[in-house]
Amino acid sequence: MAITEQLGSRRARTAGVRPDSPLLHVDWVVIATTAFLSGIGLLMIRSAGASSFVQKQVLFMVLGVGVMFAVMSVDYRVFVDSAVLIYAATVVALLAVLSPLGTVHKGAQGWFDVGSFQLQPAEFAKITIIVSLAGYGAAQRSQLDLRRFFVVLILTAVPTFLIFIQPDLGSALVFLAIVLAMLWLGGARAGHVATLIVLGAVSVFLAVRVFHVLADYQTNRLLAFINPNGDIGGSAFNLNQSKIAIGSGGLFGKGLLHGTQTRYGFVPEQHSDFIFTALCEQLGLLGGGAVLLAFGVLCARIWRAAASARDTAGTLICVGVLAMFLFHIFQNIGMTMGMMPITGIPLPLLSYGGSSTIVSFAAIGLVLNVEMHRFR
Amino acid sequence: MFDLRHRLGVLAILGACLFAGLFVRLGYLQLVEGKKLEVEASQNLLRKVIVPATRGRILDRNGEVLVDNRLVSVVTIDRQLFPRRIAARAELFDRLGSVLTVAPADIARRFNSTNTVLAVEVARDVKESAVVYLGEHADEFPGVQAKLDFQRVYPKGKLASHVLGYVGDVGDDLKDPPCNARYRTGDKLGKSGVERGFECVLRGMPGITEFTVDRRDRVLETRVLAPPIAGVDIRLTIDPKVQAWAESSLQQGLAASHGQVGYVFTKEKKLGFQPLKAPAGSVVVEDSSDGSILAMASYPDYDPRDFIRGISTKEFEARYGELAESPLTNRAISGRYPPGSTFKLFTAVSALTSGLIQDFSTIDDPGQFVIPDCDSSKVGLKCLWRNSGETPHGAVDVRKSLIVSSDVFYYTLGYRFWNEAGAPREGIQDVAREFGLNEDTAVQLPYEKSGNIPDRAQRLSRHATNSIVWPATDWRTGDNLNLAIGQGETLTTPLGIANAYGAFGNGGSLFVPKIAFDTPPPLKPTVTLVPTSTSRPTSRPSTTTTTAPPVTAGPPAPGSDGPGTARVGAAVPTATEQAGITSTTVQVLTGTDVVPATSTTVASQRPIPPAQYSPILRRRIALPDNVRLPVLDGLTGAVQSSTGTASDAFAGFPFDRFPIAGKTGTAQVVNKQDNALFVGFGGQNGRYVIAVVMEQAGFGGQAAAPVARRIFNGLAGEPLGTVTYVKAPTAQDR
Repeated sequence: MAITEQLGSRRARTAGVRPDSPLLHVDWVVIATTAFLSGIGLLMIRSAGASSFVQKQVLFMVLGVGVMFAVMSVDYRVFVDSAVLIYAATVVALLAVLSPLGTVHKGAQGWFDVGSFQLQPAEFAKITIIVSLAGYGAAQRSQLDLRRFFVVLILTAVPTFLIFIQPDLGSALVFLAIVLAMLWLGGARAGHVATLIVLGAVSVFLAVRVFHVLADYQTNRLLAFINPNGDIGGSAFNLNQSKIAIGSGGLFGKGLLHGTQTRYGFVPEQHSDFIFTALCEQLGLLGGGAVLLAFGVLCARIWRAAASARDTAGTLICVGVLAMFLFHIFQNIGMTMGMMPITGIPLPLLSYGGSSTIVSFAAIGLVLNVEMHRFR
Repeated sequence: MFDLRHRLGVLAILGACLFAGLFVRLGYLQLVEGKKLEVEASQNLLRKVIVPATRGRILDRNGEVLVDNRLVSVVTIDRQLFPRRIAARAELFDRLGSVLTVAPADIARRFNSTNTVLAVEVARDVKESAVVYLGEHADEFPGVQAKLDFQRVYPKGKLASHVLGYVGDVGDDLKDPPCNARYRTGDKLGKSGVERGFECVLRGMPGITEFTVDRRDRVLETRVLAPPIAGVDIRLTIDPKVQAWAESSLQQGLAASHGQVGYVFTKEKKLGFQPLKAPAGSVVVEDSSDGSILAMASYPDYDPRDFIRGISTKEFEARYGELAESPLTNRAISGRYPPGSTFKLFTAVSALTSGLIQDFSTIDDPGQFVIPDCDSSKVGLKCLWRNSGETPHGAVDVRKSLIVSSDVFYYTLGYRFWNEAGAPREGIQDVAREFGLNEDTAVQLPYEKSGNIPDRAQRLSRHATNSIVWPATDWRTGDNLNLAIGQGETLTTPLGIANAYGAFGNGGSLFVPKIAFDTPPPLKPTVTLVPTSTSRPTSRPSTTTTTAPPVTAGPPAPGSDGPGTARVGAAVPTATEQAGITSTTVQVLTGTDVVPATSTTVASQRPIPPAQYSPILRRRIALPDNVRLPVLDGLTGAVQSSTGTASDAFAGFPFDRFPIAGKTGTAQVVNKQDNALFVGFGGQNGRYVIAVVMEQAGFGGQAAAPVARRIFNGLAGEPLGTVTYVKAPTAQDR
């Protein structure tokens, strides 16, 4: 390969290693933006919550970086090859959390208590399902006929359903985004994907408005989104307060620790789900814009990794991670600004939370893994 | 067919669109809506709370307190923060009940009694320890709040309850509030009696306090924007001793009449004898020299303390409805009764004034009166009119007519007024109107009814308005006969007839009766509240960040929540309240130690209002001696002479040092037993006027006069004794 030779010849002379060595192709832009976003996250957690949150979050980040390096240290093709095993383990974990082994927090049976920490298998399932689907998709050589299309759907539906009944609507929706993107890039026919989107929208509507499968608070959040002026179970109040906080930040913000909305607790969950609100109130459009930009750069780099991946499996992994991040970012930030209904979805890398932080780092590790192995 | 690059491109465009959307929205919120939302953010921190003013006290003539205030703890539930599920609610009611030591069912009932969006009061006068517990366990009781509130207390129990009235939820009065004051849903105001009549001065002026709060409504800072101004104390003209005599005498009199034999006057003219019901009555004692009311009693009565806690509609109907003889009605001003023979005073004055009769001119009373030229075959025409018991009184002059209460004498006058050439056809009405009997007395009490003096014009207009209710087409001689003896459509209130007798007794001065000494005019909000703009100009009060205590402060200290606790959702100030208030008068109290109640001192050591009294003279009535003296003689005789209709009731009274004159009345009410009345005045210059009206209690001389006698006993310093029914009347009057 000409390009490989070219690249290799330049670096090989200085480093004295093989020019296609993965260690030479780590994406430092991704690492820099990740570090930037994590730092901002810590700052906001500090300004919005108690210092104990900061200490714990630092610990989560250290763990996350460890997991990231662990993920990077093994060629992603090893994961892809063990897709069946990973998938099975995921389903078992999701079943186990529904059993008495799991515990209930914030109304959802979705946690394992590990010492003083809680593990949320639904978060980890996001990347394991990405890897599993990539494994299946790669094996089909971009030829997803209707039968295989359904296989993918069923493979996704099982963990999604298990998460939905916890109930954790937000996480379940993430899987929808992931599977759509991976079907699209995995070679499904455009007509099938379009039909799936339409059927999905109709069935969600029917489920919510006709069969009332959602819990009261979930419906309330949706209604609050549709009609922000009618206070339904406090959701509209939260949404309104979040908008007030963001808007009152203006161009430059009120300054760190000077956000009245943040400081006096008008915005709920401001260290986790509503962290973007705390950011915008205190650091204004500059802070909010910088974070959005950083996310944009991160997503662009993930997209680049998908485009430059050595094989279909690598492309699909990156696309899955991209879909996951895009959904999280748009849903979470959109929610704080009243563009999306309120669901308990964290903002990757910024929001306080152990499982979410570790999974975000692991996902980035996967992307880095695919990218650094693009030549070998 | 499958092009990875192409599909990745679609994904890139989608991602770019999502980010673009977020950027645009963020820019819009922060740059376009920023200023507006900044104002909202600063207002988030501020709670303007209306601090109720201490309500004025109500005192008696001697300056002793009849109605006072007390600060009590009240527990409310905010529906918006309260659980929605029935089971969760029941569980919370149970826990709350055990904390408050109140039956959970009781709490649930009060919570469900309204569907207001405001906090519902579920318990009152709660123990301090329970308030502390609720404050410390606020998280376990969503929507439950404890606050301080003023409560009326009645040191003398239910004495003068009809005069005092009671305080209740503003309710429907919100639509048409008294004295154009601004009330808010949930406010309390006077509902009846003096509490209502003097609402404008009693209520004072609520203050405004601004709190800086956090999301959990923990108070960070307090500013008193306008201190509440306590309401004015009202000193009544009610004499507690006379009031007590009036109430006990009326009750004794009704008890004494109850079960005595009386008869029912029905439309079919059948006289059925029955035990008397004597369910209700009223007594008014007025000082005729200046129109001040010394006592006003109405039976059945009620206990104003029943209204402090609130009462369900069903319970209200059972205890205070019509079947319970409407005990909330103050019959002294709201009861309209035919005056019966007590009206003869005015017929007599009219006849003497118009020259229809002279002093000592007599009319023969054979016991009955037949209207001349009357065609008895005509349907509905009554030609033969009888005395009570058809007793013949012989030659009767105006004195004797009042002493023995001759109906025939007044039938004759009624006939002559209407039919005799040269006589003023409506002479009786003219005099009655002059004595104020066709209007209300304008006493400063709500729900006063006006009297009614029927005449031809009223008859015609009533028939024209509703010919089914008012079938009579024209005024006829018989109507004038009825009018002359205070029957038919003639109606007066006990206060109205007492006031008219007072005007006769004092020589012709008709006063507007007054229930209280002079009071200052109602407060006007001119000093403290100066509205400026509708929004606050600064984003953040500069004092907030410097003086605010740590956000981690625990639950508010017990008692720190004054009346009108700030709470999200419930007490969010309305646009009008948020109207800016000039900060020049702002007095800053830093810290969380907020006790708004201290700024509205609980009234107990406040000075007694002065006993300054300015009588209001309504009009002077010309009563020359040739008119007044014969009538006065007749009224005196009715009480004092051995043949007088009230003489038995007043037997043994020391008239030589405490002269009394008066008139009994026994008024027919269709389908009911007769009402008993006595109206009279006694003491120097007839200073004390007493009107007694007892529903379905029989003869005035037998039932009502003894009630007045006992009150006169008290006024004259005689032993009070007890009221007894006069068994063997000297004369029966109609």
